[in-house]
Amino acid sequence: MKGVPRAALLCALVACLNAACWSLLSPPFQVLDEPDHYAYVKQLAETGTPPASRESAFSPEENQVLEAEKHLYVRLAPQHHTISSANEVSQFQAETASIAHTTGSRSAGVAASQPPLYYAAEAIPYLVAGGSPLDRLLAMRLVSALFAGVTALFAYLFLREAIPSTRWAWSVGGLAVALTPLLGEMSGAVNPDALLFAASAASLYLLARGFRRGLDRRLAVSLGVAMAIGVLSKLNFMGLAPGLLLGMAVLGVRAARTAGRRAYLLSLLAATVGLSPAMAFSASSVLSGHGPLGKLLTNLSGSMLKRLNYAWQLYLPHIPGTTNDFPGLFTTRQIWFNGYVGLYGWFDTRFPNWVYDLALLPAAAIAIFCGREIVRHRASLRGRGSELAVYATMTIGLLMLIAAASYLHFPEQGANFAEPRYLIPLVPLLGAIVALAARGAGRRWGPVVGALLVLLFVAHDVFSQMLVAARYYG
Amino acid sequence: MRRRARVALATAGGVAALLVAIAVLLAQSPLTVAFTNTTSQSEDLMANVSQGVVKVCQREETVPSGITAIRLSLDSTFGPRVRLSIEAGGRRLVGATTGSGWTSREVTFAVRPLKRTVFPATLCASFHTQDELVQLLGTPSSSSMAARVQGAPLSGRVIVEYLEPGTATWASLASTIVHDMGLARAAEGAWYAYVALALMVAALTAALVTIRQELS
Repeated sequence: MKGVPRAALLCALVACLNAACWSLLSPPFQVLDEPDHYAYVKQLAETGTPPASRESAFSPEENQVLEAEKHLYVRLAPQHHTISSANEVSQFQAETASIAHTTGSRSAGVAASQPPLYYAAEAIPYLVAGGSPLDRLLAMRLVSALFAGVTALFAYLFLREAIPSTRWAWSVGGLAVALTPLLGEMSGAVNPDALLFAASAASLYLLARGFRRGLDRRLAVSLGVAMAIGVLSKLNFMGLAPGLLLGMAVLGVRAARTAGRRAYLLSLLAATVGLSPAMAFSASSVLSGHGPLGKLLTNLSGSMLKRLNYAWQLYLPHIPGTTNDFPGLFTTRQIWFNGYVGLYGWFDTRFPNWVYDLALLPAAAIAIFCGREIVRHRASLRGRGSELAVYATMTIGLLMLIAAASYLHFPEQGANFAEPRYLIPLVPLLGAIVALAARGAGRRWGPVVGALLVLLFVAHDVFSQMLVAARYYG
Repeated sequence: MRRRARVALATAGGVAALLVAIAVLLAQSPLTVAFTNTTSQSEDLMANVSQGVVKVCQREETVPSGITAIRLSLDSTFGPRVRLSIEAGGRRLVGATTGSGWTSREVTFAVRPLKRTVFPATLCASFHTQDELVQLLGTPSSSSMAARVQGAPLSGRVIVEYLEPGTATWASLASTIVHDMGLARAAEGAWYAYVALALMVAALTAALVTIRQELS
């Protein structure tokens, strides 16, 4: 930890504590896709092989716990609470009194197509905890919460490199990331998103460091390792890969100006380290046509124009004269903004509608202050055009991957993968927006606005947790 | 005023505002189910609709007095705008709309309370869907009592819940929430809620320490 600022460690601590809190708050298996991810870990930990089937036919012991927990009755139905009455408790105890252990879980639902790195890491608490599936799940959740700390740590370090002149703003952005409810909820559950967020934040930090201090061998290897971890933790990382590769190339070109052509080898080294372990997995997925990446390339229907129109409208208002794929739905607001403000559990836990309207006020204030700061520093930003282009490519790549995955299910389901959690790999950029907004308040009031913004994120997090508690236990 | 004092004042004000907001929330009462048209714990799929204007109606509904919200069992990934109307004796008693973009297996309408309970009433929900699948969920019933889509009977009635403000505040429900949070878990017990609270207080403390050290 030598050289890591104390404030960065505090941000990491806040994120870990917050995610651990979420892990205790969320009922077992009531976070998106958690039964599937649990099944994957069980299979990998007990057999050493990944699951073979995408069916949701889990092991008998997992099914036994899910049924005893009334999983399907509670899931997606906010009017239904978790076990509460004495009768339900005794029924639960009777149903779980003797859980017959079976080795592995051949099926892991939606998790089956994912790469194994996160699940391999979670196999350790799974095996160490032993006991019932609920004991194992709690241990796995708490280990997952540690990744939230890694994410916040790298977000802080990213801000230190990206906004080097304003030290206090790093803490504002770092704490905003640490207290983001979606980061806490997903990292506090068994879900490879936790490792994906951490690897993405590390990648952004390393890129920012490269743009500020130049590319050397150590940074090249680190970038490659971060990329390899990302791709091996969740396929969504492939959306960031084009931007990362562009970043490596740009850093190589810049380094070549001073160090000569040998600097290109550093870019090549970073790309090779990043892509080599992932290549086999991705190639088999694409070539077989069975994995999600293969499906994306082989099953997308409609003309390119139609696909681009869909992708545009998934995020932005439709352009007059084009087909409206989301009639009556303002996707920017209703899917992405409202989803970020509060949509938890299995997409079944929402705030009352007025909360989403109220949230527009601080969001607009943040946008205005951030915009003001960008305009004020536009001259210096021009000199960082290539760096910003790299972040933009990473963002667009991720957005396009989500749109392509959603388009596979269109039109039966308009926006199947339009889940705000999929944007959390970019959460360090959110931290930068918040940090810039605080700085945009000016030298005198900037730290005050920064403190208030941190408290805004605290409030968002606390009320989100109260919402979840009320939905499941109220 | 010096920067340290300004930041400290803003932080103290922000924390105070947060505590007041939590207190106000805890003094509120959650909605409770005043009446529902089913006693079953399970929901069956009544119909899938994904194209055009859909109007689903069911008669013989009992609408209690004093209710402030009505919940229908509809399921969609991102549901369309839905209009709800309730009529009795040729008069429209309730009209409400919910915006598009709702998720999961229920959609809730805020309504004006009725002065007296009404029976029999006809409840209709209408919406337009282009491609997005909307599922109607309910319980089996005789054909004569079943919900009807565009006049054609389904296999049962869509579940409707009539909600009213409860008498218990969130604060008075805290002990129930603490108790229930610890059920059906590893190492069951109320410690889940207390440890979760302690973790959040520790996170908040660490955040305040960071603000004090870095922003002041």
